[in-house]
Amino acid sequence: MSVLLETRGLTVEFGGLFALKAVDLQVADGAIHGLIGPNGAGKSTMVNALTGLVPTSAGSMQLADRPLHGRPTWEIADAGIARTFQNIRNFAGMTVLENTLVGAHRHFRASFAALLRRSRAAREEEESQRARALEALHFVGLRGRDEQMATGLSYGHQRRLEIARALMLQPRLLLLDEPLAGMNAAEKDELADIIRAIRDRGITVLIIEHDMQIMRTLCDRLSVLHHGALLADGTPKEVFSNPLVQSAYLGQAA
Amino acid sequence: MDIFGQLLVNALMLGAIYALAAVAYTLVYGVIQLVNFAFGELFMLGAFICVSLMLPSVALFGWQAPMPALPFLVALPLAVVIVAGLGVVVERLAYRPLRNAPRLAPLIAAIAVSVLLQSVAQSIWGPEELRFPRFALGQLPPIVLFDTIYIRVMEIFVLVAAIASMIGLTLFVQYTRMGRAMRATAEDPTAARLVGIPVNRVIAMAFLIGSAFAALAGVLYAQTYSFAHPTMGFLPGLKALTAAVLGGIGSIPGAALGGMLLAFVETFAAGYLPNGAAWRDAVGFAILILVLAFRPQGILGRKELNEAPAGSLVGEQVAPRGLFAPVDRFFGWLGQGNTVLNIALACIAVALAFIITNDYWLRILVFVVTYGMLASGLNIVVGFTGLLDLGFVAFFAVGAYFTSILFVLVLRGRFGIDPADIWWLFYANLFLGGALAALIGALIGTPTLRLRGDYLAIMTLGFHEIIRIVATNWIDLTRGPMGIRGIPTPSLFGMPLMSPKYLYLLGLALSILVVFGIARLVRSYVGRAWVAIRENEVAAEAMGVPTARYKLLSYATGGFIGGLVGVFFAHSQQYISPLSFSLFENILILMLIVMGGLGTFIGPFLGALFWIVFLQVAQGMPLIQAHPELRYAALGLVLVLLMIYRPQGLAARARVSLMMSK
Repeated sequence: MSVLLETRGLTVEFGGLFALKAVDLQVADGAIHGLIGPNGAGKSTMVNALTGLVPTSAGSMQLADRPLHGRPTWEIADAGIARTFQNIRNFAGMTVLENTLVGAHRHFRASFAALLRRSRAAREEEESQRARALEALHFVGLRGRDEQMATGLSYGHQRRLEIARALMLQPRLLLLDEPLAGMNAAEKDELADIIRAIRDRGITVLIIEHDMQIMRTLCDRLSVLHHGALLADGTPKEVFSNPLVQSAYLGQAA
Repeated sequence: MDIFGQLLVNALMLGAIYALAAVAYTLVYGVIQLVNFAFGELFMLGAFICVSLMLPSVALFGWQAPMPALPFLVALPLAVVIVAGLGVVVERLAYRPLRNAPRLAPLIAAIAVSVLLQSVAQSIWGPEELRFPRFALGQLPPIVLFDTIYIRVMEIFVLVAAIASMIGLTLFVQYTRMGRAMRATAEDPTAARLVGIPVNRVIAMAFLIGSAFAALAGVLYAQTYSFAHPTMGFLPGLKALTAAVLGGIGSIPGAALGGMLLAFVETFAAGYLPNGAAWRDAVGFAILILVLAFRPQGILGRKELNEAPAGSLVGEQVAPRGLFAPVDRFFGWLGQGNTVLNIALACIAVALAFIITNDYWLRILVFVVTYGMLASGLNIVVGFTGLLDLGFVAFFAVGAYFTSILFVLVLRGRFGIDPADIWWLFYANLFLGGALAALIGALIGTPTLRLRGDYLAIMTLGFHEIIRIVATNWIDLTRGPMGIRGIPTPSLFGMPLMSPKYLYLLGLALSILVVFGIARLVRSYVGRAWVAIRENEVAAEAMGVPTARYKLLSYATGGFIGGLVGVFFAHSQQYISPLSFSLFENILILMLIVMGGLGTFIGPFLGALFWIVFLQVAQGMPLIQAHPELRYAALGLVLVLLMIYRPQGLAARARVSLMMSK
């Protein structure tokens, strides 16, 4: 399998403190790749660095051979990396459908003049993205809620909305930052199925999650971060039998 | 030697005063990240209270009140203490209820408090200057150096007082319990609260000290220029804020450095540049914009404090409840975007031109549509994109001056062309004036729009001041404070639309076009990108929205409408002067939108209607006749209350759909 995302020596430093230490990560095209590690290991920092929200002090990253390090966040999104947030960041004051459509921003081409005239192309573009958005909402299980205000959704549904919105980018890689946090077992299973279905659509998934039971069956590969460094890498089976990983999770000095 | 030595003394003096006032801004910003615009007014109140205490009697509300005639050295600390207490009261009443509100709320409240205090001061002490009384210390003979430099004893006093207070404050912040608590709160208020620091008391303390510094600066300023006036705090307040940003907001040595630097640049520019005195303020604000563009954290600033927290004033949908329930139901119904309803509304507005036969009231309607359109333009920036813009009136000025200069000074003045022959140019100018304003907005905005929140507001303020100074001082171009007269009224195929009825109809037609245009942009991916920026800039960026570009676009689109309305305004009034484009106008327009409803189509017009009708009704009240400025005090008060109890405004339920209708 070819490599979709690759980082080399990715380093993030906060005033002398290393949040990430020279991380070399490879995510295979078409995989569900898990990123695990104890609290404070640098998982969220990794996702933020990959999306340009945190400046890196050294290292490089590329998506399918396209170098992206140092690029602004929107450009990284435009290049095909979509994400959700650990603390939900839906747009209040917008309906569910409007929220979803923000994710389609990069597909819109109509000029100001075309919008003011409401040209046929502008209308068609809006119509086709609206259809895509409804489909995405259906896909994540939010059918029929498109007219509702986003803030009125339940917590679990807000997480699903974030996923639908990210899917609208038509990304090559989807980064999910603790998408299962705060859900009950049934909800977690449903969402895991959705994540598999996303992968089956040809979108590579990089997921951060604490629930090892789910991660064991969901992920094709796992990478373990510990104190900002990559500790282990491999299939779930390999990783969980790695003594280094076990001691890191049990809190002993690795 | 010539004037150099004297300029040096003057610069030191002014620098000391700027530095003191800058400490006020920097201290409060450092602790709660709020630009407390009201410090300019506390500065002014310090001066007024000190002067009043030094006089045997003073006219308050028009009555002579006996005063203690205290010596300067007693009146000064007393005034400082009174103003410090007032600062704490303001914080308690206006800002503390907004502690957890989106950042825009306390910022707008601060502007409203500023308007409120200024208007109240004007009704207490009157609109005239109050002369600073003579006092013993000020009468001592000056010290002469090198035969050319005159140093008054008071100037030494100012410098010593400034240095002593700075050192005192630095020691306080470094070594006392309270000082440590302040630094901890500045670092992380949540953590500070968790470790048992009484955060509210710390913030009150920051306001207490800040207000005391502002008052001290105000007294010293009034003493130096020997007067006190209700608007005297505005410009020095802005300068002090500039100094604080220049030095690095949040840093006390930075405030001192910034104050001195700004004073030196201004004083020497005024002394050595041709016609420098007129341009000194512009030089100061140009420096502000440059600093914001290239080093927003300032000279000594530790960190770039420009991460705006997510969330907006309008994000949460209000449920019809309590006092506002009928209002909410009404606007919920009105704002549903029903075409029939919209056409009916337009028809009513048109019918008004024929129902109302009184020219006076029709003229008032012309104002309503003018302000409604202006507010609609600003609403794109503030309401939809969530950026605070205090320089919007500058676009209005650009449009108005563009068409006036072209028609009056160039075409008629230089080429002798009769405006009646080129009546169509007015209509072309609506577009050209808008385009020019948008272009200037884009040029100035480009380097600074990557800034977030407060910094952007400060930058737009600087931009506004520069345009105003140009309008006032570039006399060859703008005729300066005299203004431009004889701007032709709009006409249609040679038929002048002179009567208020036709002007109203023309304004109404433009309003409908403006709202229609805005609606088409807002109900598309552009509007969704704007609102996404307003609600959560980080998430918008992560969804592939180039936020800097869309902020610029919002700014330029708003600017276009500002310029267009400027052209209409100039031709409908036939006279413009820099007075029409004061910062106060900008604050007023901002308040209209907040009152009517941020991020709605009807809100700006609703706000304009309420305000202008209120002005007319208030004219009949005896209290207002005696104290006209109380109208503005009422506006400020209403705005503070709105920010606390109902930031979404009257038409909150008239939420705008961001989808293209099928």
